[in-house]
Amino acid sequence: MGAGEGTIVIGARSRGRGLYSTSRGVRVALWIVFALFSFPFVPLVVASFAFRWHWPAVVPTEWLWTARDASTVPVGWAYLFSRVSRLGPAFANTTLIGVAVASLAVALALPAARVIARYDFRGKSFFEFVFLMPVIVPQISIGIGTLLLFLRLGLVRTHVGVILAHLVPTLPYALRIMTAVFQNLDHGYEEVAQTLGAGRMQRFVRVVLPLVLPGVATAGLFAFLISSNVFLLTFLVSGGRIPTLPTMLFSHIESGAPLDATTAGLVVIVSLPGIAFLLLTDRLTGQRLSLASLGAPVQPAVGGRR
Amino acid sequence: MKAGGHRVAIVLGLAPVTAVLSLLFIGPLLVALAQSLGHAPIYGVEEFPTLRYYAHVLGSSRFRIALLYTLYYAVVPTIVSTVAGVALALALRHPIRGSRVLVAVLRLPVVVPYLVGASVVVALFANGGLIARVLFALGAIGSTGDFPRVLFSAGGWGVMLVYLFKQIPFTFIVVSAALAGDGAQYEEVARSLGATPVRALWHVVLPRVVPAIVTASLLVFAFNFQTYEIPYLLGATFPNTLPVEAMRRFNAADLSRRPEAMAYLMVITAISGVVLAAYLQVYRRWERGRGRS
Repeated sequence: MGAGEGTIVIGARSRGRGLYSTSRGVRVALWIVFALFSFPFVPLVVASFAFRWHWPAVVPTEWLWTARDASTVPVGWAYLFSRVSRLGPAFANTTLIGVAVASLAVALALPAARVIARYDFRGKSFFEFVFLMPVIVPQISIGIGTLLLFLRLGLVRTHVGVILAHLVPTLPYALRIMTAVFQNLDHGYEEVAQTLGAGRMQRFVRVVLPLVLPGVATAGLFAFLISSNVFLLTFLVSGGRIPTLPTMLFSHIESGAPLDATTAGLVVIVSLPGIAFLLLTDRLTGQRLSLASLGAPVQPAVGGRR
Repeated sequence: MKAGGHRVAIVLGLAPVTAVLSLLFIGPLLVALAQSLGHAPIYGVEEFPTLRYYAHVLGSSRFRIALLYTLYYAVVPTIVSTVAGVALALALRHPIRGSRVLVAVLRLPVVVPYLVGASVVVALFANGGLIARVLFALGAIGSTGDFPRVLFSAGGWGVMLVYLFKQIPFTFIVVSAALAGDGAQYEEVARSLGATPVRALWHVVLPRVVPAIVTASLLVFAFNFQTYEIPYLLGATFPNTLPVEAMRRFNAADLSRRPEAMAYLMVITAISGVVLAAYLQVYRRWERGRGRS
């Protein structure tokens, strides 16, 4: 099975041709889809700037900037950016954990992906299957099991514990993306370097690494994205002591009212890693990189032609 | 390349990931398994090996109800997002005016946490949410109580809306990438050989992207079957899904109930595995029937 190819789409853009015409009905349907998926964020952005927005008002009755002097306690953005909200630590934790998880995931996945892409060996499909399991096995089973294990190892309520826990859902993505990168790698360059007298280390550092660097960055970005979106594993392993953006949003949804200004502002902040991901991957070394890699881990199991 | 003289390189390459996943993935599952079989001395439970907790869980009507709701909350959004995502990918396979903007809009839900989807659904569909307010302003409802209960109801509409918000775009993106991959020109060939648009779509375009459709729907189902926070936040107090029931038992004040929670986890894992394996099996049989594999 041709696993790997097509998981990263580079410069793939179908050409417009007169042969195909999209009917009026389809066009109208697409506009409805556009409205359905773009509108939901509008009320939240509006709500984040509202001071008073009670039932049954369709628009806020008082805005944050007109009420600033009237309020005794900070609301909405003012609250979020105050010390009390603990948004600062949550943002710092999410970033720090995400960067650590991405670095570790790439460092662990790189040698394995290279071996899987280059060699045929007995048990290869078994390893590929085991490496995709964390995406399929219920997160709650892994999460509660991890909590019990980490209680014994003294890793609960520590950053190290959360980082280690996040490796499990991120490694399958890092592995699949890096395997695809190594499969597409032209070994000719390495052989040329060898005939020119480059040693093993020199070939890896001067030839292979620069060639796979965009792929490494991609794998790292996916690992960062997944880590910054994980809720349950953090919630269980952090024991409430290490707030991250998702766990903070969880407690606000649990206790907040609909269209609550603070929760709405927090939603915008929690979406930032994802938005940064989209902007970065679009720019990355001029390659158009596909979000479809989020489906990559199970492709060895599904196989088929792509 | 054959393994031949590269055995050391292969072992060294695979060792780090294998070690890490053994400790952090297999390890936790074994701990949960041991507790579910009665090995939990820290809670004063030491009756290993016993199947008593499994018997208790599987025999309870609460478990059976939770299982039905878990399947219902998982399967319905999987079918809807697969159909809608594939339809969208097909409609957008040739660029039209505005399609770039639409694709950009559809990428956002994929990269934000599910909890963002939950906030969106609460803001719109709560009884005091924006849709209820618009209906009130239009005179369609007289109070918050007249708005149908979308959230916190056994119907699970709120839960499923969150899934659809994330998963229709996800399916669209995975299937679109497959459509844009190798073989995109076959449709043109079929059309120029006289195939009608519908025939070309059904016999040439769709079969090529079936693996992508299976990939997307498999991941979507696997996620929906086991997620905790969305049904916990937006589902009913009772009935709710298996993960919510498991967490409730895990957090119970009486720690000796934890083995029961672990039995829940193992059963959730087993059922999810069986359903996914059966789905893959059906798909592989279909592929063989078509003469590929």
